[in-house]
Order: sequence, then structure tokens, then C-alpha cells
Amino acid sequence: MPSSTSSSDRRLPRLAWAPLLAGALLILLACAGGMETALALRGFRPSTAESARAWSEQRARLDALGDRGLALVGASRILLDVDLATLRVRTGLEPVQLGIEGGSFLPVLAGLANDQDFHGQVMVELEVQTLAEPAPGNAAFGYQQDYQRRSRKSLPDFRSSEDYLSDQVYRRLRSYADGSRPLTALLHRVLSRPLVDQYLRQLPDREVLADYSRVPMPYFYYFRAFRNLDGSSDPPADLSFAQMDERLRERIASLQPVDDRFFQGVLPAVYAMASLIQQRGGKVSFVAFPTSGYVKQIDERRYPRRLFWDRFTAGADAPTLDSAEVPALSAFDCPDGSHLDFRDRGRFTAALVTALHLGAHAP
Amino acid sequence: MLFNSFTFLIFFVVVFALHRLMPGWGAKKLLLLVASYVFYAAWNPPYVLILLSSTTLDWWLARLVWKSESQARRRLLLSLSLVANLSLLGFFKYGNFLLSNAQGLLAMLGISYVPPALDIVLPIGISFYTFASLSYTIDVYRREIEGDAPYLDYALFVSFFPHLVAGPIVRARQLLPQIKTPRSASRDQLGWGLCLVIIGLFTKTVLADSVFAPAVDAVYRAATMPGTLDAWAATLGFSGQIYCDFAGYSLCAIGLALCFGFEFPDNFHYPYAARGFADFWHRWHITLSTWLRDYLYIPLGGNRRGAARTYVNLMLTMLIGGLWHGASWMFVLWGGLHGAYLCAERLLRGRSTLPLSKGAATAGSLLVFMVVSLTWIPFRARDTGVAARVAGGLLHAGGKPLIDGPLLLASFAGILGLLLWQHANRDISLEQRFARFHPALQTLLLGACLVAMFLCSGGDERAFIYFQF
Repeated sequence: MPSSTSSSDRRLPRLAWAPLLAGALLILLACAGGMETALALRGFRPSTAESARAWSEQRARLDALGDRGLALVGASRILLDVDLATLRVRTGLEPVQLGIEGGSFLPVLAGLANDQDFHGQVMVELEVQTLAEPAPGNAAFGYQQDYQRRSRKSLPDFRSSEDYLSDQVYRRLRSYADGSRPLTALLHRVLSRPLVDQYLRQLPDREVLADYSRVPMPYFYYFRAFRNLDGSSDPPADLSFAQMDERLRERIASLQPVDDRFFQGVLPAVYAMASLIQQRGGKVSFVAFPTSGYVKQIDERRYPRRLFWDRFTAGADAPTLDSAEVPALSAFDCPDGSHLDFRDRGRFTAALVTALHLGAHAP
Repeated sequence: MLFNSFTFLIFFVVVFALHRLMPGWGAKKLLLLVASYVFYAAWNPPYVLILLSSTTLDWWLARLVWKSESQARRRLLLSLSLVANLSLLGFFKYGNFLLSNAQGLLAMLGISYVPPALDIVLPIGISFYTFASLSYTIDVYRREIEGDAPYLDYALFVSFFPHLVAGPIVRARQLLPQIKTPRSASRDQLGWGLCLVIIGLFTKTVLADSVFAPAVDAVYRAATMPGTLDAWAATLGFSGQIYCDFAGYSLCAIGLALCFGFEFPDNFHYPYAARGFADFWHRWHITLSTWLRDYLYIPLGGNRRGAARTYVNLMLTMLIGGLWHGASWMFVLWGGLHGAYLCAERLLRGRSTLPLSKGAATAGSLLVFMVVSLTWIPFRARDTGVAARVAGGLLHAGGKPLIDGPLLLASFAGILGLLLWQHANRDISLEQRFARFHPALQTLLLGACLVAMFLCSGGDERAFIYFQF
């Protein structure tokens, strides 16, 4: 029988344990330190990782804020384009970032509408494609469910402490930057030159800063355009930029408007959500954030304004704003066609507050 | 809390330091008891009450059994303990299963019955601590041990955190004498205990979670039939995953107990190098198989009541062993298949007395591994549809690839490495193997384990598979 079943420790290995264990620990520290140094030399910085838990914490913060809260709901554009500090100063409200990368606003807005205690303000990023087709597996549903599960818990448990501790570690090490795991960082950031440097940085309040000076342009722009076009993650490798332009123009010209039946069917539910919040004294506004170049052209072909945006605004009681209609907003250029550089967020947010008449004492 | 967590690291450091500082054995035991309840409460605080009440009832009943001279009264008290423990297990673990089966059965008879919706959360580790606790009352009833353990000792035996939620299923006769005698970890116990924790965590977080699990999940979660390569990668990969997951946990538990000076029984001994199904069960989840042998198979009559009854007893034991793993017919099927293998092996062995050559033994061992691996399919699949899809995929050429190339390679390479390692070491212990390495290699190996754990950290966090049982 193996020794650990024995009642005596005589069969246990008799080794020089201190040097053995200390040596193993030193190997770990040397490797982890080496990784951190290599990543630092490549310009990587520690960042907060996105998670349902972080979102739930912000959602719970909104509960505590009451009338002073301004919920930002939507997807990556509201995450990257809005500067919370500017919003805070200009509105007198406390903004809470509830945007979710690739997320649908529907479950989040529904959650706010059904929350009888919520009567604050909501700014919704209205990306019409999120209403154009069903998305039952969208991450936003999971986030909302996670929040509801957490809010039902009355006692702290292992998960709470582990979330806190792992967050404290991960946000301090480059090996975990952007939610990466060290193995991925080793393979794709240390041992091979990354295609794209770390250009996104999430802050503890879930703001995301995009620094487009750190990405290879115009390649990255084409990358985004092709991804928006057909979901593929890479432009064809053998094409020159001029050929990519030609390919994109041809493909965009052939695009047809998407079927608008689901969109029309879901509109009453969206209006009802906004009405519920407004009936309780809250305020809701819907904003189409700026886009540029090919991304804008693709959206215009697939989701023609007359079929989508105009129909939405025609039936909405809540204020709506299309950035393309406001010169102070449409003047901003999106380097990747879809989002603003972090240097533009402050000015854009200030112009947005003015255009929306947002504020604690706004009508 | 999980052993592979920051919370547990802090918990262990604090408890270990306090344990070293505590002046008396009574205080040390009290500390370990409180720490164990904190450890358990970390999952679901109200459920410590179930653990506490089960512990108190069994301790009290065993004490009455021990003091009583009347055989009828002793039998009644033992029955009370069995009913109480099995009712607890039945309600929490099998309540919904029983109701849904009753519903199906009545429907077949044309009776419409809608069972109440029981929103039951399974108390973690209930199968493990119930079996540990039952071993005490049964052994006291059999007069194999005395039933006068102090309450503090008994409560610590049941709840001692290294074995509380996923075993090894430590018996009272193994742990109570250790709890009774003042002890502190020797240098070798502490050193080897920490080594086991590192090796166990490496086995769990790197091999089970990062090498095997991604390929397994990709196939078992898919809605389509996998191609041949994917199906085999998932089938063999799950053999690797469940072994590394549970054996890794067991190593951690044994190592942690050693750090406090306690010695637990081994739970695995290179099961994939087994040369038969009986040999497999002598090497796989040893504390459960010996528990079932001693408290179920032998009381049923074992092999003492003729051949036919022996086969019935074997099948019953394995079916119940299967059901112990969870409230699903899939686990019963898994247990039944293993029961059938044991019966068939017993039948064949009875007719042949020829010793096997080394080559034949190795071939037989590989055959056992393949059969065991295929039998994991119903264990892993949530229903017969998934099981049929994965099993069908083993012979299904083509199909959309479900596993990325590197993961496919990792799964096959991982299982090959695991088999080679187990066959090379089947007759020696891990301690002996480790001690034979050069000191520099020992340091390098442990360092490599730590580095691999760091590299694989931060991904999807997976609980130990056996927590659900």
C-alpha cells in the first residue's frame, strides 16, 4: 500500500525540503517576473478584466444611487465613446457604465424597467442591428441574470471573496491584461509579435479607453470593415489596400436591407420598457453613436434609415438622438469606423450632454 | 471554497499558522473544527446546520448503540442512523429524481401526476460525509470500534476540511485514533504534504482543466455528431480529465492533512494501468470501492453464498455505486456496465488458471483502459441522446471539426503521457518515484508544476467534478 496510507511517516521521502520548496518557488517567481518584464517591454499594461461580476457591481451601485444615477446602456460604442468624468461634471449625475461589449441593450433595459426601485436616468446606445434579429444567447442576458442572482444573495460566500482576491491579483499583473491568461500572453504576446498591441484598457469603473495610435493603420480599419461585413476576422491577406477598397466597395454595393419584421415586432416592447421607467419618474434617451467610413456605409445599406431609425423615432415617447444629425457630434471621426479614440471622448461627451440636454435638473 | 483558489490559499496559511501557535491539543482540535465549518460555510452558510445536525445525531446514536447491551435495541438504533442519513441523502440528492420517475411511472399507468417543484440545492459533499459518518455507527454496531469518541473529536472527524467535500472517504477507525492523539506534522510530513498539494493542483488545474477539459466540453456540448477523431479525443480525454480532476483533488486532500500531521488513505493508484476490472476498482476511488465492499457487498453475502448470489451482489453493489454518483439513470447505467464487466471477468477467470505473459498483461491492461474509457461516455453525457451521439461519432467518418488542432493534439498526447506514466509506475508509490529523482530534478519538477499552474490560471474556473457527487 502506498505510504500516505500508512500510520507511520517512516515511508515518506526524507529530503531537504526547505531548499526543494524554496527552489521551486524561485523558479515560479523568476518565470512570472520574466513574463511581466517582457510584457512591460512590449508596452503592455495591467488592466481590469471584463466580467459579469464587474457589471453586476456597477448595476448594484446604480441601485444605491437612486435619483442621482445615470445608467449607460448599450454595447461597445457607449463603452468606448463616453467619458464618465465629463458626464459627471456636466450633468451633476453619477454615471454608471453598464455597456457590454457586443451586448444587446434589451435585457438590461428590461431589467431596469422591471426594477420598481429604479427611477433614475438612462442613456441607451441604440444600435438598430441589435433590434433587427433575435439574440437569445447574447452576453447581456447572462450579465443581467448574474446580477439578479447576486442581488438575491443575502450572505457573502466563497465566490464573493474569490472574486475580490482574484481581481486584486489580475488587475496588477500584465500577464492577465485584457482578461488574458498568462499562457495566451506567453504565446501571443511574448513569444510572437502580437498583430495588434494592447490598445484597449478597461478601468475599474468599466470605462474602456481605446488608443488607436497603438494599432497598425490602415490595416486595422480594414480589419474592422471586413469583420462588420461578413463576420470574418481578417481581411484577405493577399490584397493591397487599394484592392481591399475595391473589394469592400463592390461588396457594400451588393448589400441588401435586412428583413425588418423582427425589428417591427420588438419595438412595442422597447417603448413599453422606456415608458415604465418614465412613469416612475425616470428618464430614458436613445442615442445612435457616430460611425465613419465603410462601417457607416455597411450600416446604411443593411439598416436603411427610413426602415429602422425613422420608424423607431416615430413611435418613441423618449428623446432620441442620431449623432449623424448633430454637426457637433458627427464631426468626430472613428479611427476604426466604429469607435472614438480615447482622446476624443471628453469633447464628444460634452457635446453629447449639450445635444441631449442631459442633467440633474434637465427638463 | 476550492483548493485552487486565492481564498483557500489565505485560509490555509491562516489556519496553519494558528494551528502551529495554539498551545494545547484540545485548542488545536477546536481550531481545526471551527476552520472546517468556516470552510464548509463558504459555499452555502445555512447548510452547516445540516452537517451539524447529521454529525450530532450520528454521534448520539452511536453512543447509545455502544452502551446498549440489547441486540434488538442496538439494531433499532443503527436502523435509525441509517434511515436518518439515507433520508437526508435521499431528500437532497434524489428528491427530484424520485419524483420525476414516479411521474413517469404513473403516466405509464395512465395516471396524471404533477410533482411539486422542489427547488433543492444539493449540500456539497453530502455523499462523502454521510458515508464517512455511517462508517462510524456501523463499526460501533459491529463492535469493531468503540463508540465513546468525544463529541469534539467526532465532529472533527466528520468535518475535517481536507476530506469534507470530496473525500477521500476516511473512516472513523482511520481518523479518530489520530484525532485522539496529540500530533504535529513532522518535517517530512509537512514537506511531502506541500509537494502533494502542488502536484495535486497541477494535475487538476493544468492537466484536467487545460489539457483535457476543452476538447471534452467541445464535443459533449455540441449539437451535432462529432467526427471520429473528435469523438475519440473527447472519449479518451474524459478518461484523462476525470482521473486528473479527482486524483488531483485527492492528492491535495492527503497533502493538506499531512501538513497538520494527519494521514489519509490513498484514493487512486494508477488505475489506468489496471490489468482487469477488479484490479481497476482496487486502484480507482479506493476509499469508495472499499466502503461499498465492506458495508454493502460483504453484508449482502459477498461471495459466500454461491456463484449466482455473488453475481447478483456484485451487480447490486455496482448499481448502487453508480447511483451514489448522482441522481440520474446515466450513472446507474455506468455502474451497471462496470458490474457486468466484473461479473464477466469473474466468470472468465474462474475458467482459466493460466498465468498471463507480460505482453498479454499489457494488452489486457490496454483493453481494460479502452473499455473503461468507453464506459465513461454515459457517465459524462447528460442524457442518452448525447451519449449515443458521442458513441456514434467514434465510428463516424467526416463531420464538422469541433476541436481545434492544438487541443486535439493536447488531448491525445496527454492521454498517451498519462498511460505511459501509469504503466511505468503501477507497482510503486508516488513517494517512491519522487524520492528516486535527483534533487535538482525534484526542484525543477515542482517548479515546472508551479509555472504551468501560473500559465493556466485566469481562465474558466472549473469546480472539481466530484464536488457534485
